[in-house]
Amino acid sequence: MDKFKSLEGLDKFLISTGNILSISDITKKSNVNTSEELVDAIEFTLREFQSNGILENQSDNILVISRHNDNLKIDEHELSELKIGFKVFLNEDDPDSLMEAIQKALMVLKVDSIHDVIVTFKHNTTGKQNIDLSHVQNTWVVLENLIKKGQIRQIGIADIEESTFRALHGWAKVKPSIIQINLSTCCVVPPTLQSFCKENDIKLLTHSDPNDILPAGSIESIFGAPLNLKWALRFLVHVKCRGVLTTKGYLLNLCKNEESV
Amino acid sequence: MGLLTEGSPLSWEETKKNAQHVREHGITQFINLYKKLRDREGDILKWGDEVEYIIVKFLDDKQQCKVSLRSHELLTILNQKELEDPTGVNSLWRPEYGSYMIEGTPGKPYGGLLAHFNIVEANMRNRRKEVTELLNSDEAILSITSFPRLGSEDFTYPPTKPTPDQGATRSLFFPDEAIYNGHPRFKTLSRNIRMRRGEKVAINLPVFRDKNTKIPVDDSYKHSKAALKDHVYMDAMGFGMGCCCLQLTFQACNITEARTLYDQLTPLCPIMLAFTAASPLYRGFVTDVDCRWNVISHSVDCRTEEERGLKPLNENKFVINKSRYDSIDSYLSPQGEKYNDIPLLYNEEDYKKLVDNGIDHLLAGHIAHLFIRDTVSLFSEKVHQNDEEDSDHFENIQSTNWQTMRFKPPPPHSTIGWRVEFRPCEAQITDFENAAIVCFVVLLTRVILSYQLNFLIPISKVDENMQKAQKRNAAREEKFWFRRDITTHVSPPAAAECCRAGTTNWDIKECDMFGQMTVNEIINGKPGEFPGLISLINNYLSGMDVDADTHCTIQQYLKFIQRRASGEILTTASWIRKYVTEHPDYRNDSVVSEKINYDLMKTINAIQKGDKYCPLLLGASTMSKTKDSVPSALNEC
Repeated sequence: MDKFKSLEGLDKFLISTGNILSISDITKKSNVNTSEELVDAIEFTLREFQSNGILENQSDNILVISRHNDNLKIDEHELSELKIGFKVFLNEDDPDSLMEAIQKALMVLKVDSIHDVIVTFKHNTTGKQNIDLSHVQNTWVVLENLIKKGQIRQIGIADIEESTFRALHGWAKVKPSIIQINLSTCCVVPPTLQSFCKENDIKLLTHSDPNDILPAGSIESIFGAPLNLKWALRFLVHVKCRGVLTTKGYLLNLCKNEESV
Repeated sequence: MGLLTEGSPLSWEETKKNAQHVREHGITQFINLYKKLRDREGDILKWGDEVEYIIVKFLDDKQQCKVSLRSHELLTILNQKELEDPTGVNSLWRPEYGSYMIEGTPGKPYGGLLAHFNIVEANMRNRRKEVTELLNSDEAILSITSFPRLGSEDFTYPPTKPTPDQGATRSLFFPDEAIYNGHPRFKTLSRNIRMRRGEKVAINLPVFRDKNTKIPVDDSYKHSKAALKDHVYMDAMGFGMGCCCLQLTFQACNITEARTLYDQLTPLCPIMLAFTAASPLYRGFVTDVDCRWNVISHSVDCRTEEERGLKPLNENKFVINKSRYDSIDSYLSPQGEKYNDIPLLYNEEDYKKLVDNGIDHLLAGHIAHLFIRDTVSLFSEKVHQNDEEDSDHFENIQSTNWQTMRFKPPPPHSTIGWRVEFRPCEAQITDFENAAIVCFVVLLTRVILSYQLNFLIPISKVDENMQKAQKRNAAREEKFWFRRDITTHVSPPAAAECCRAGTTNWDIKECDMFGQMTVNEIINGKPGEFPGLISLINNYLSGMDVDADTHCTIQQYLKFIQRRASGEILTTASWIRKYVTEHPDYRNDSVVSEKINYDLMKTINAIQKGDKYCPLLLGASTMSKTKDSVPSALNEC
């Protein structure tokens, strides 16, 4: 596909979809899951970028592909009225990726601090190997440091076993305030987890994101080449106490496979 | 409606003399409110539902069910609790038109968290429980839209007789004792509407023609020239205002958002009316309509013959197209302006006064239009007011314009902001259904604001939809005008398509913006054409922090709404029809006998209490995870 042409020669780049709430074609689609929405958002971003985008070269030489004239809407409100949250999709317990994702997103949104960050790790697809505490500790320390620096107020984790969550809660200096579980189809939450959350004032939230947010097949069909998704981040901006979502978007780090090895 | 102030109603003659006084001061009061409050900003989402109930009494030995005229007695007790602990009560109770009716609202409004959706049903349950505790063992509180045998012989307990020659209503069927007697407002309204009109109100509903249905339906035509022979004739305000409905009010962050929501919800009024249709039975007959709307509209139609266009104008100023209970006549937001395609009546001097005081033409037109109505209830204590401080004259006219939507300015000296009231829905049998509908509508408002959706269609088409919505089985069979593309951001592919079509003027594109859709297509979507409201809500929810219990509850509600919209389960109206026409005592004559009525009310009460499983009406599961309060970890508003 020629849509990838202008990206040829790039080893590593970021895609910033901007505020996808303003993309009518996405709003109009019915019953799409997160991956389909993300694919649409990337394709839309690439299309718009190819017609009138400029490659932004950031200080660290990572190129950002973004949509011209995007309105993030953040400046339409006082920052104190907004609640900004990130969810970071990582492949593994990689503190550098997490740090990079958060810093880039803060830059895109032009804010210094946000309300919460939730991390999630891609499960090993081959075996049904559970993620245990040792697989999350390095990234958790990054989150704890950001809390200490005042850049984040609450941190949480998605899709881990109850036992791992309890272990994390026991070990962590800064306790998780949020656990996010996938409940796309059913209503069953383990009662022990429920009571643990209640006792410890933890928000038990739901999501419907697939564990592999952007499968390799999707990447290949978008870019015509196999690329490695190092991390993905979704940002959500709400107006506090009004139930209004103003901004939703994704930021992704993609690189050529050989580089990631 | 808030707690009613006691007072002495003026006679109709006195009230009539003061019509212009109320009009002038009411408009001045609005202007003063507007000047003080137009710049009010930053209010959070607060919202609440209102459910109206009918108290019934079962006479088990006779196998009969009557409306129980006890609401004044019950309200005295319920309001005492509120007086003693105004902020601590679970629910607030207010009188409604019928002396067998009662209106309940949550003790305090719900807030702007998604977790608040999870306490609505529990609050409704507790509300019902609170009243049930005061009832006798042979009584029940039902959230039904219309009592099937209202106005039939001997429909009240204790028994009463209509008084066609005297009293407030002078109905052949509806006794004055069935009008709430704890406050003079309701009888006064009935009398004044009748006197202003110059005759009794007249409501004619087409009878459902079954194979043994008798025409003429009954003897009504012998007693009243207004009665149509093949219709169910009704002649009192109580037939309409004695119906129950489900309303909700929400606070907007400022006046602009309130105007936007007022407009955007307007096209949804007929859709939600058809969806919530719950009242096919009137005065002991099966009719050919499913909804209360036109019944109430006619039941408070105070227009004179001149105003209805039956006589040349002489004493009156206008021919008015609608009753004071009807759908709205104009949009209020700049976006809505171009869809205002029906003439808006008002007194030029009222309009001018509003505009001269800095009110824009859309809002000025709306307020002036409300004030084409005369006051039909005035209390001697309230005639002379301080227009800087009071707003009773404004409220007098505002609160007797019973329209699909209501645009509500903040009350003077309060912490409440600009609000919008959504009024078309009929009351459903169970708390689960009522909670589902309320949450669905409030979620829609959040989706509209988040995605800046546009549902606007010409207002004349909304009116057309309102009439379609009330037809028998409209929720399944009718097609409604609806906007095809509800997004407001033009994306490049759409723009390109438009260029290919050679369209340079964007407004031309508007002409094919609307199509005809079924309730199912509107709610569940039409592949390739329209995403469906449920899908939009789910999309929105995926971007929100939803706790597990609330998620589960909302999903139960949305599934129920999807099923009802698709026809997989029945609307309340269809279910009631089916119940009656399949009852062993039914003679295929469109008559709802005492026995059928008794069994129907018993069944409804059992379903409401959860004693009877009714998948045909509710679907397989109605188990939400509703609870009494929002968990502390989530409580951030």
